[in-house]
Amino acid sequence: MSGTVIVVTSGKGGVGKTTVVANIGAAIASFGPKVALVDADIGLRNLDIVLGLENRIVYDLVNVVEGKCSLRKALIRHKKLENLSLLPASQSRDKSAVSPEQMRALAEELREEYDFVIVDCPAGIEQGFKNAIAGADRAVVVTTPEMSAARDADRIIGLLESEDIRDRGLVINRIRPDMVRRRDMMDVDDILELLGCDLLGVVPDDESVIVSTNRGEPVALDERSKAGRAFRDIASRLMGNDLPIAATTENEGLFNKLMRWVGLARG
Amino acid sequence: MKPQEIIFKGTRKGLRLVLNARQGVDSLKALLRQKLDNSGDFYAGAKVTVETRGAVVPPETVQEVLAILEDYGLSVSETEHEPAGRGRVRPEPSEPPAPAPVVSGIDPDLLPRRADTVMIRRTLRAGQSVTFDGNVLVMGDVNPGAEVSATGDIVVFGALRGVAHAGSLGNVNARVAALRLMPTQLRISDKITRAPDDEVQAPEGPEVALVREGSIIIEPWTSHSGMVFGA
Repeated sequence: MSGTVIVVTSGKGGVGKTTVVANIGAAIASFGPKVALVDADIGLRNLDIVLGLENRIVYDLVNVVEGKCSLRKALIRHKKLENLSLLPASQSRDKSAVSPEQMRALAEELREEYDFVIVDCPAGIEQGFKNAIAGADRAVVVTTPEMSAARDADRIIGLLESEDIRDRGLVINRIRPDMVRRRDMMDVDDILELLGCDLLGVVPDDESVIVSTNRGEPVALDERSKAGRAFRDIASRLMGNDLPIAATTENEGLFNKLMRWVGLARG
Repeated sequence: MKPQEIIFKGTRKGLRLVLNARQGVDSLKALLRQKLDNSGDFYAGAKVTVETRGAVVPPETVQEVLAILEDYGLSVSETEHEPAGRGRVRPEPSEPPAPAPVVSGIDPDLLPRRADTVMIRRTLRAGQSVTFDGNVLVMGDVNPGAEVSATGDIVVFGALRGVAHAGSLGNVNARVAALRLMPTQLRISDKITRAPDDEVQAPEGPEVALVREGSIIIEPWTSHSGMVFGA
Protein backbone atom coordinates (compact mmCIF):
# COMPACT_ATOMS: atom_id res chain seq x y z
CA MET A 1 0.00 0.00 0.00
CA SER A 2 1.30 3.41 -0.83
CA GLY A 3 1.00 6.43 1.46
CA THR A 4 -0.52 9.85 0.95
CA VAL A 5 1.62 12.87 0.11
CA ILE A 6 0.33 16.11 1.65
CA VAL A 7 1.83 19.52 0.98
CA VAL A 8 1.34 22.24 3.58
CA THR A 9 1.42 25.65 1.93
CA SER A 10 0.26 29.24 2.46
CA GLY A 11 1.78 31.71 0.05
CA LYS A 12 2.42 34.22 2.80
CA GLY A 13 5.26 33.67 5.24
CA GLY A 14 4.93 33.62 8.99
CA VAL A 15 1.43 32.16 9.18
CA GLY A 16 2.66 28.98 10.86
CA LYS A 17 3.22 26.43 8.09
CA THR A 18 6.19 24.83 9.81
CA THR A 19 4.35 24.66 13.13
CA VAL A 20 1.36 23.05 11.41
CA VAL A 21 3.60 20.49 9.67
CA ALA A 22 5.41 19.57 12.89
CA ASN A 23 2.21 19.28 14.88
CA ILE A 24 -0.04 17.40 12.50
CA GLY A 25 2.93 15.14 11.77
CA ALA A 26 3.51 14.45 15.45
CA ALA A 27 -0.22 13.96 16.09
CA ILE A 28 -0.70 11.50 13.22
CA ALA A 29 2.41 9.57 14.29
CA SER A 30 1.12 9.44 17.88
CA PHE A 31 -2.09 7.84 16.54
CA GLY A 32 -0.12 5.03 14.91
CA PRO A 33 0.59 5.59 11.19
CA LYS A 34 4.15 6.06 9.96
CA VAL A 35 4.87 9.68 9.04
CA ALA A 36 7.74 11.30 7.14
CA LEU A 37 8.13 15.08 7.25
CA VAL A 38 9.99 16.74 4.40
CA ASP A 39 11.39 20.24 4.82
CA ALA A 40 11.25 21.67 1.30
CA ASP A 41 12.27 25.13 2.45
CA ILE A 42 15.79 24.68 1.16
CA GLY A 43 18.16 27.36 2.40
CA LEU A 44 15.94 28.37 5.33
CA ARG A 45 15.94 25.23 7.42
CA ASN A 46 13.38 25.37 10.24
CA LEU A 47 11.39 22.21 10.70
CA ASP A 48 14.25 20.42 12.47
CA ILE A 49 14.37 23.16 15.12
CA VAL A 50 10.63 23.01 15.81
CA LEU A 51 10.97 19.25 16.23
CA GLY A 52 14.10 19.57 18.37
CA LEU A 53 16.21 17.51 15.96
CA GLU A 54 18.73 20.08 14.74
CA ASN A 55 21.73 18.49 16.41
CA ARG A 56 21.14 15.14 14.70
CA ILE A 57 21.35 16.32 11.07
CA VAL A 58 24.14 14.74 9.05
CA TYR A 59 22.67 14.56 5.54
CA ASP A 60 19.88 16.59 3.97
CA LEU A 61 17.38 16.60 1.13
CA VAL A 62 19.82 18.03 -1.41
CA ASN A 63 22.37 15.30 -0.59
CA VAL A 64 19.66 12.72 -1.27
CA VAL A 65 18.49 14.09 -4.63
CA GLU A 66 22.09 14.50 -5.74
CA GLY A 67 22.68 10.86 -4.89
CA LYS A 68 25.34 11.61 -2.26
CA CYS A 69 23.57 9.47 0.31
CA SER A 70 20.61 7.12 0.55
CA LEU A 71 17.21 8.37 1.61
CA ARG A 72 17.22 6.03 4.58
CA LYS A 73 20.46 7.52 5.84
CA ALA A 74 19.23 11.12 5.66
CA LEU A 75 15.96 10.50 7.51
CA ILE A 76 16.10 11.37 11.21
CA ARG A 77 13.83 9.55 13.63
CA HIS A 78 12.07 11.68 16.25
CA LYS A 79 13.39 11.16 19.76
CA LYS A 80 9.97 10.47 21.30
CA LEU A 81 7.79 9.29 18.44
CA GLU A 82 9.31 6.34 16.68
CA ASN A 83 6.76 6.57 13.83
CA LEU A 84 7.88 10.10 12.99
CA SER A 85 10.87 10.85 10.73
CA LEU A 86 12.26 14.04 9.25
CA LEU A 87 14.05 14.68 6.00
CA PRO A 88 15.74 18.03 6.73
CA ALA A 89 16.34 20.82 4.24
CA SER A 90 19.80 21.92 3.26
CA GLN A 91 21.00 25.06 4.97
CA SER A 92 23.73 26.01 2.54
CA ARG A 93 22.02 25.54 -0.83
CA ASP A 94 18.95 27.24 -2.31
CA LYS A 95 15.68 26.32 -4.02
CA SER A 96 17.27 25.92 -7.44
CA ALA A 97 19.30 22.95 -6.18
CA VAL A 98 16.23 20.74 -6.64
CA SER A 99 13.78 20.25 -9.53
CA PRO A 100 10.08 19.31 -9.39
CA GLU A 101 10.90 15.97 -11.07
CA GLN A 102 13.41 15.15 -8.33
CA MET A 103 10.88 16.07 -5.64
CA ARG A 104 8.26 13.89 -7.33
CA ALA A 105 10.66 10.96 -7.34
CA LEU A 106 11.53 11.58 -3.70
CA ALA A 107 7.85 11.62 -2.72
CA GLU A 108 7.29 8.37 -4.62
CA GLU A 109 10.14 6.72 -2.76
CA LEU A 110 8.91 7.96 0.64
CA ARG A 111 5.30 6.87 0.12
CA GLU A 112 6.46 3.30 -0.35
CA GLU A 113 7.65 3.28 3.23
CA TYR A 114 5.40 5.76 5.04
CA ASP A 115 1.62 6.14 5.43
CA PHE A 116 1.81 9.94 5.35
CA VAL A 117 4.44 12.12 3.73
CA ILE A 118 4.00 15.76 4.79
CA VAL A 119 5.91 18.40 2.84
CA ASP A 120 6.65 21.80 4.39
CA CYS A 121 6.43 24.27 1.51
CA PRO A 122 8.42 27.52 1.53
CA ALA A 123 6.60 30.87 1.39
CA GLY A 124 6.13 32.37 -2.05
CA ILE A 125 4.92 31.01 -5.38
CA GLU A 126 8.22 30.51 -7.15
CA GLN A 127 10.55 27.56 -7.64
CA GLY A 128 10.35 26.37 -4.03
CA PHE A 129 6.56 26.23 -4.20
CA LYS A 130 6.63 24.35 -7.50
CA ASN A 131 9.09 21.85 -6.02
CA ALA A 132 7.04 21.31 -2.87
CA ILE A 133 3.74 20.64 -4.63
CA ALA A 134 5.27 18.44 -7.34
CA GLY A 135 4.50 15.06 -5.83
CA ALA A 136 1.50 15.99 -3.67
CA ASP A 137 -1.87 14.19 -3.69
CA ARG A 138 -3.52 16.76 -1.49
CA ALA A 139 -2.84 20.14 0.03
CA VAL A 140 -3.32 21.82 3.37
CA VAL A 141 -3.58 25.59 2.96
CA VAL A 142 -2.67 27.55 6.09
CA THR A 143 -3.90 31.08 6.68
CA THR A 144 -4.36 33.45 9.59
CA PRO A 145 -7.40 35.71 10.07
CA GLU A 146 -5.80 38.65 8.27
CA MET A 147 -6.71 40.05 4.87
CA SER A 148 -3.16 39.77 3.56
CA ALA A 149 -2.85 36.10 4.54
CA ALA A 150 -6.31 35.27 3.19
CA ARG A 151 -5.46 36.98 -0.10
CA ASP A 152 -2.31 34.91 -0.50
CA ALA A 153 -4.20 31.76 0.43
CA ASP A 154 -6.69 32.57 -2.33
CA ARG A 155 -3.84 32.95 -4.82
CA ILE A 156 -2.35 29.65 -3.68
CA ILE A 157 -5.69 27.84 -4.04
CA GLY A 158 -5.89 29.18 -7.59
CA LEU A 159 -2.41 27.82 -8.33
CA LEU A 160 -3.27 24.45 -6.77
CA GLU A 161 -6.39 24.33 -8.95
CA SER A 162 -4.31 24.86 -12.05
CA GLU A 163 -1.94 22.09 -10.92
CA ASP A 164 -5.04 19.91 -10.54
CA ILE A 165 -4.57 19.28 -6.81
CA ARG A 166 -8.26 18.98 -5.99
CA ASP A 167 -8.19 17.77 -2.41
CA ARG A 168 -7.55 20.99 -0.51
CA GLY A 169 -8.24 21.64 3.16
CA LEU A 170 -7.94 24.95 4.96
CA VAL A 171 -6.36 25.47 8.38
CA ILE A 172 -7.06 28.83 10.01
CA ASN A 173 -4.25 29.46 12.43
CA ARG A 174 -3.99 31.89 15.35
CA ILE A 175 -7.66 32.74 15.77
CA ARG A 176 -8.32 34.94 18.80
CA PRO A 177 -11.86 34.24 19.94
CA ASP A 178 -12.05 37.42 22.04
CA MET A 179 -11.10 39.57 19.03
CA VAL A 180 -13.53 37.74 16.78
CA ARG A 181 -16.30 38.36 19.29
CA ARG A 182 -15.49 42.07 19.33
CA ARG A 183 -15.62 41.97 15.50
CA ASP A 184 -11.97 43.10 15.44
CA MET A 185 -10.84 40.01 13.57
CA MET A 186 -12.14 38.17 10.51
CA ASP A 187 -14.13 35.19 11.67
CA VAL A 188 -14.09 31.69 10.26
CA ASP A 189 -17.22 32.25 8.16
CA ASP A 190 -15.77 35.40 6.55
CA ILE A 191 -12.67 33.48 5.51
CA LEU A 192 -14.53 30.42 4.29
CA GLU A 193 -16.92 32.54 2.25
CA LEU A 194 -14.01 34.24 0.56
CA LEU A 195 -11.91 31.16 -0.08
CA GLY A 196 -14.62 28.62 -0.82
CA CYS A 197 -12.50 25.77 0.51
CA ASP A 198 -13.16 22.85 2.88
CA LEU A 199 -12.27 23.67 6.49
CA LEU A 200 -9.85 21.24 8.08
CA GLY A 201 -9.53 23.00 11.40
CA VAL A 202 -9.20 26.18 13.40
CA VAL A 203 -6.21 26.65 15.72
CA PRO A 204 -6.55 29.20 18.52
CA ASP A 205 -3.72 31.62 19.22
CA ASP A 206 -2.02 30.01 22.19
CA GLU A 207 1.17 30.87 24.09
CA SER A 208 1.89 27.21 24.61
CA VAL A 209 2.67 26.94 20.86
CA ILE A 210 5.58 29.38 21.17
CA VAL A 211 6.86 27.72 24.33
CA SER A 212 6.77 24.25 22.81
CA THR A 213 8.24 25.43 19.49
CA ASN A 214 11.23 26.89 21.30
CA ARG A 215 11.65 23.71 23.30
CA GLY A 216 11.40 21.52 20.22
CA GLU A 217 8.46 19.56 21.57
CA PRO A 218 5.36 19.61 19.37
CA VAL A 219 2.40 21.15 21.23
CA ALA A 220 0.17 18.47 19.70
CA LEU A 221 1.57 16.08 22.30
CA ASP A 222 0.47 18.37 25.15
CA GLU A 223 -2.91 17.13 26.39
CA ARG A 224 -3.78 20.39 28.16
CA SER A 225 -3.10 22.82 25.34
CA LYS A 226 -6.07 24.07 23.28
CA ALA A 227 -3.89 24.51 20.21
CA GLY A 228 -2.57 21.01 20.77
CA ARG A 229 -6.09 19.65 20.76
CA ALA A 230 -6.90 21.57 17.56
CA PHE A 231 -3.84 20.02 15.88
CA ARG A 232 -4.83 16.53 17.01
CA ASP A 233 -8.31 17.10 15.57
CA ILE A 234 -6.82 18.24 12.24
CA ALA A 235 -4.59 15.17 12.18
CA SER A 236 -7.57 12.95 12.84
CA ARG A 237 -9.53 14.58 10.00
CA LEU A 238 -6.59 14.08 7.65
CA MET A 239 -6.72 10.39 8.58
CA GLY A 240 -10.30 10.34 7.37
CA ASN A 241 -12.24 10.77 10.61
CA ASP A 242 -15.23 13.07 10.57
CA LEU A 243 -14.99 15.30 13.65
CA PRO A 244 -17.09 18.40 14.22
CA ILE A 245 -15.15 21.68 14.13
CA ALA A 246 -14.99 22.99 17.71
CA ALA A 247 -16.57 26.36 18.29
CA THR A 248 -14.07 29.21 18.31
CA THR A 249 -15.64 30.86 21.34
CA GLU A 250 -13.79 28.66 23.80
CA ASN A 251 -12.28 30.91 26.42
CA GLU A 252 -15.43 32.87 27.06
CA GLY A 253 -15.47 32.12 30.79
CA LEU A 254 -17.54 29.82 32.88
CA PHE A 255 -20.31 32.30 33.60
CA ASN A 256 -21.15 32.92 29.96
CA LYS A 257 -20.94 29.23 29.22
CA LEU A 258 -23.45 28.49 31.94
CA MET A 259 -25.73 31.27 30.74
CA ARG A 260 -25.58 29.82 27.26
CA TRP A 261 -26.41 26.38 28.49
CA VAL A 262 -29.52 27.63 30.18
CA GLY A 263 -30.33 29.70 27.13
CA LEU A 264 -29.91 33.19 28.58
CA ALA A 265 -27.03 34.39 26.47
CA ARG A 266 -26.43 33.94 22.82
CA GLY A 267 -23.14 32.52 21.60
CA MET B 1 -21.36 42.07 -52.88
CA LYS B 2 -18.10 41.05 -54.42
CA PRO B 3 -16.66 38.08 -52.52
CA GLN B 4 -13.46 38.98 -50.74
CA GLU B 5 -10.49 37.28 -52.23
CA ILE B 6 -8.29 37.35 -49.17
CA ILE B 7 -9.68 36.87 -45.70
CA PHE B 8 -7.93 36.53 -42.39
CA LYS B 9 -10.04 34.57 -39.94
CA GLY B 10 -9.37 34.13 -36.26
CA THR B 11 -10.19 30.60 -35.12
CA ARG B 12 -9.67 28.74 -31.90
CA LYS B 13 -6.55 27.12 -33.38
CA GLY B 14 -5.05 30.37 -34.57
CA LEU B 15 -5.17 32.55 -37.64
CA ARG B 16 -6.51 31.18 -40.92
CA LEU B 17 -5.79 32.81 -44.27
CA VAL B 18 -8.39 32.03 -46.93
CA LEU B 19 -7.41 32.71 -50.54
CA ASN B 20 -10.24 32.67 -53.07
CA ALA B 21 -8.72 31.92 -56.44
CA ARG B 22 -11.91 32.32 -58.46
CA GLN B 23 -10.63 35.48 -60.17
CA GLY B 24 -7.32 33.85 -61.01
CA VAL B 25 -4.18 33.63 -58.97
CA ASP B 26 -2.26 36.62 -60.31
CA SER B 27 -4.07 39.29 -58.33
CA LEU B 28 -3.74 37.32 -55.10
CA LYS B 29 -0.12 38.17 -54.34
CA ALA B 30 -0.61 41.88 -54.91
CA LEU B 31 -3.76 41.88 -52.79
CA LEU B 32 -2.01 40.00 -50.03
CA ARG B 33 0.89 42.44 -49.92
CA GLN B 34 -1.52 45.35 -49.95
CA LYS B 35 -3.52 43.87 -47.07
CA LEU B 36 -0.44 43.16 -44.97
CA ASP B 37 0.95 46.64 -45.66
CA ASN B 38 -2.29 48.19 -44.47
CA SER B 39 -2.26 46.27 -41.21
CA GLY B 40 1.21 47.37 -40.08
CA ASP B 41 2.78 44.72 -37.87
CA PHE B 42 -0.61 43.56 -36.51
CA TYR B 43 -0.12 40.05 -37.87
CA ALA B 44 3.60 39.79 -37.08
CA GLY B 45 4.48 36.67 -35.12
CA ALA B 46 1.10 35.05 -35.77
CA LYS B 47 0.75 31.37 -36.70
CA VAL B 48 -1.38 30.95 -39.77
CA THR B 49 -3.03 28.14 -41.68
CA VAL B 50 -3.36 28.88 -45.39
CA GLU B 51 -6.47 27.64 -47.16
CA THR B 52 -6.95 28.05 -50.90
CA ARG B 53 -10.38 27.84 -52.51
CA GLY B 54 -11.74 27.74 -56.06
CA ALA B 55 -9.33 27.15 -58.95
CA VAL B 56 -6.31 24.96 -58.35
CA VAL B 57 -3.47 27.17 -57.23
CA PRO B 58 -0.14 26.09 -58.71
CA PRO B 59 2.42 24.99 -56.14
CA GLU B 60 4.82 27.80 -57.20
CA THR B 61 2.18 30.37 -56.34
CA VAL B 62 1.61 28.74 -52.96
CA GLN B 63 5.36 28.94 -52.34
CA GLU B 64 5.33 32.61 -53.30
CA VAL B 65 2.43 33.30 -50.99
CA LEU B 66 4.24 31.58 -48.13
CA ALA B 67 7.36 33.65 -48.82
CA ILE B 68 5.29 36.84 -48.66
CA LEU B 69 3.79 35.77 -45.33
CA GLU B 70 7.21 35.05 -43.92
CA ASP B 71 8.44 38.46 -45.09
CA TYR B 72 5.78 39.98 -42.87
CA GLY B 73 6.75 37.89 -39.85
CA LEU B 74 3.96 35.28 -39.96
CA SER B 75 4.71 31.59 -39.56
CA VAL B 76 2.73 29.06 -41.61
CA SER B 77 1.61 25.91 -39.84
CA GLU B 78 -0.16 24.14 -42.75
CA THR B 79 -1.79 24.63 -46.14
CA GLU B 80 -5.10 23.25 -47.33
CA HIS B 81 -7.00 23.36 -50.59
CA GLU B 82 -10.76 23.44 -50.94
CA PRO B 83 -11.91 22.42 -54.44
CA ALA B 84 -14.38 24.71 -56.17
CA GLY B 85 -17.19 22.18 -56.30
CA ARG B 86 -17.69 21.85 -52.57
CA GLY B 87 -19.41 25.08 -51.83
CA ARG B 88 -17.93 28.35 -50.78
CA VAL B 89 -18.21 28.25 -47.06
CA ARG B 90 -17.09 25.33 -44.99
CA PRO B 91 -18.10 25.54 -41.36
CA GLU B 92 -15.29 25.16 -38.86
CA PRO B 93 -15.59 21.67 -37.40
CA SER B 94 -15.03 22.96 -33.87
CA GLU B 95 -17.43 25.87 -34.22
CA PRO B 96 -20.76 24.89 -35.75
CA PRO B 97 -22.81 27.89 -36.81
CA ALA B 98 -24.99 29.12 -33.98
CA PRO B 99 -28.70 28.65 -34.65
CA ALA B 100 -30.52 31.91 -35.16
CA PRO B 101 -32.31 32.92 -31.97
CA VAL B 102 -36.07 32.59 -32.02
CA VAL B 103 -37.42 35.97 -31.08
CA SER B 104 -40.97 36.84 -30.27
CA GLY B 105 -42.40 39.80 -28.45
CA ILE B 106 -39.10 41.62 -28.17
CA ASP B 107 -37.36 44.05 -30.47
CA PRO B 108 -34.70 41.92 -32.22
CA ASP B 109 -32.36 44.91 -32.20
CA LEU B 110 -32.10 44.54 -28.44
CA LEU B 111 -30.51 41.12 -28.76
CA PRO B 112 -26.79 40.63 -29.21
CA ARG B 113 -26.01 40.38 -32.87
CA ARG B 114 -23.47 37.63 -32.50
CA ALA B 115 -22.14 35.18 -29.97
CA ASP B 116 -19.94 37.68 -28.21
CA THR B 117 -20.17 36.53 -24.62
CA VAL B 118 -17.73 34.30 -22.82
CA MET B 119 -18.87 32.30 -19.82
CA ILE B 120 -16.45 31.58 -16.97
CA ARG B 121 -17.79 28.72 -14.88
CA ARG B 122 -15.51 29.05 -11.89
CA THR B 123 -14.40 31.45 -9.22
CA LEU B 124 -11.65 33.83 -10.24
CA ARG B 125 -9.10 33.95 -7.45
CA ALA B 126 -6.40 36.47 -6.54
CA GLY B 127 -3.91 36.84 -9.37
CA GLN B 128 -6.26 35.45 -12.05
CA SER B 129 -7.75 37.65 -14.72
CA VAL B 130 -10.02 37.52 -17.76
CA THR B 131 -9.85 39.96 -20.63
CA PHE B 132 -12.34 39.61 -23.47
CA ASP B 133 -13.54 41.50 -26.51
CA GLY B 134 -17.24 41.15 -25.76
CA ASN B 135 -19.32 40.43 -22.67
CA VAL B 136 -18.12 38.35 -19.74
CA LEU B 137 -20.42 36.21 -17.61
CA VAL B 138 -18.87 34.68 -14.49
CA MET B 139 -20.74 31.88 -12.75
CA GLY B 140 -18.82 32.06 -9.51
CA ASP B 141 -17.13 34.78 -7.50
CA VAL B 142 -14.52 37.31 -8.52
CA ASN B 143 -12.28 37.45 -5.45
CA PRO B 144 -10.17 40.40 -4.30
CA GLY B 145 -7.01 40.54 -6.39
CA ALA B 146 -8.75 39.07 -9.47
CA GLU B 147 -9.63 41.21 -12.48
CA VAL B 148 -12.24 41.04 -15.23
CA SER B 149 -12.00 43.32 -18.24
CA ALA B 150 -14.53 43.32 -21.09
CA THR B 151 -15.25 45.61 -24.01
CA GLY B 152 -18.92 44.93 -23.29
CA ASP B 153 -20.85 44.14 -20.13
CA ILE B 154 -19.79 42.11 -17.10
CA VAL B 155 -22.24 39.96 -15.15
CA VAL B 156 -21.15 38.04 -12.07
CA PHE B 157 -23.49 35.37 -10.74
CA GLY B 158 -21.77 35.47 -7.39
CA ALA B 159 -19.85 38.02 -5.36
CA LEU B 160 -17.76 40.58 -7.23
CA ARG B 161 -15.01 41.63 -4.82
CA GLY B 162 -12.13 42.20 -7.24
CA VAL B 163 -11.67 44.72 -10.05
CA ALA B 164 -14.07 44.93 -12.99
CA HIS B 165 -13.65 47.03 -16.11
CA ALA B 166 -16.62 47.09 -18.48
CA GLY B 167 -16.63 48.92 -21.80
CA SER B 168 -12.86 48.83 -21.67
CA LEU B 169 -12.48 50.24 -25.20
CA GLY B 170 -14.66 53.23 -24.46
CA ASN B 171 -18.27 52.03 -24.37
CA VAL B 172 -19.88 54.22 -21.68
CA ASN B 173 -23.14 52.29 -21.99
CA ALA B 174 -21.52 49.13 -20.64
CA ARG B 175 -22.68 47.86 -17.27
CA VAL B 176 -21.46 45.70 -14.45
CA ALA B 177 -23.95 43.59 -12.54
CA ALA B 178 -23.42 41.12 -9.71
CA LEU B 179 -25.47 39.22 -7.19
CA ARG B 180 -23.23 40.85 -4.59
CA LEU B 181 -21.55 43.90 -5.98
CA MET B 182 -18.73 44.85 -3.61
CA PRO B 183 -15.77 45.47 -5.91
CA THR B 184 -12.35 46.76 -4.91
CA GLN B 185 -12.54 49.03 -7.91
CA LEU B 186 -15.02 49.49 -10.72
CA ARG B 187 -14.28 50.94 -14.12
CA ILE B 188 -16.70 51.65 -16.92
CA SER B 189 -15.13 53.05 -20.07
CA ASP B 190 -12.73 55.70 -18.71
CA LYS B 191 -14.64 56.27 -15.45
CA ILE B 192 -13.18 54.85 -12.27
CA THR B 193 -14.72 54.42 -8.85
CA ARG B 194 -13.50 52.55 -5.81
CA ALA B 195 -14.88 51.02 -2.64
CA PRO B 196 -15.30 53.43 0.26
CA ASP B 197 -12.38 53.38 2.70
CA ASP B 198 -14.52 52.59 5.74
CA GLU B 199 -16.12 49.21 6.21
CA VAL B 200 -18.43 48.22 3.39
CA GLN B 201 -21.92 47.00 4.16
CA ALA B 202 -22.74 43.89 2.19
CA PRO B 203 -25.41 44.75 -0.39
CA GLU B 204 -28.90 43.46 0.25
CA GLY B 205 -29.39 42.02 -3.21
CA PRO B 206 -28.15 42.06 -6.78
CA GLU B 207 -26.97 45.43 -8.04
CA VAL B 208 -25.91 46.98 -11.30
CA ALA B 209 -23.38 49.71 -11.96
CA LEU B 210 -23.72 52.09 -14.89
CA VAL B 211 -22.62 55.53 -16.00
CA ARG B 212 -25.15 58.30 -15.58
CA GLU B 213 -24.34 61.99 -16.06
CA GLY B 214 -20.66 61.27 -16.29
CA SER B 215 -20.19 59.21 -13.15
CA ILE B 216 -20.64 55.61 -12.10
CA ILE B 217 -23.77 54.94 -10.08
CA ILE B 218 -24.99 51.73 -8.49
CA GLU B 219 -28.64 50.70 -8.48
CA PRO B 220 -30.51 47.67 -7.21
CA TRP B 221 -30.83 45.17 -10.02
CA THR B 222 -34.52 44.38 -10.13
CA SER B 223 -36.71 42.84 -12.76
CA HIS B 224 -38.44 46.21 -13.30
CA SER B 225 -35.23 48.17 -13.76
CA GLY B 226 -35.78 47.11 -17.36
CA MET B 227 -32.19 46.58 -18.29
CA VAL B 228 -31.18 44.39 -21.14
CA PHE B 229 -27.63 43.22 -21.44
CA GLY B 230 -25.85 43.26 -24.74
CA ALA B 231 -28.20 45.83 -26.20
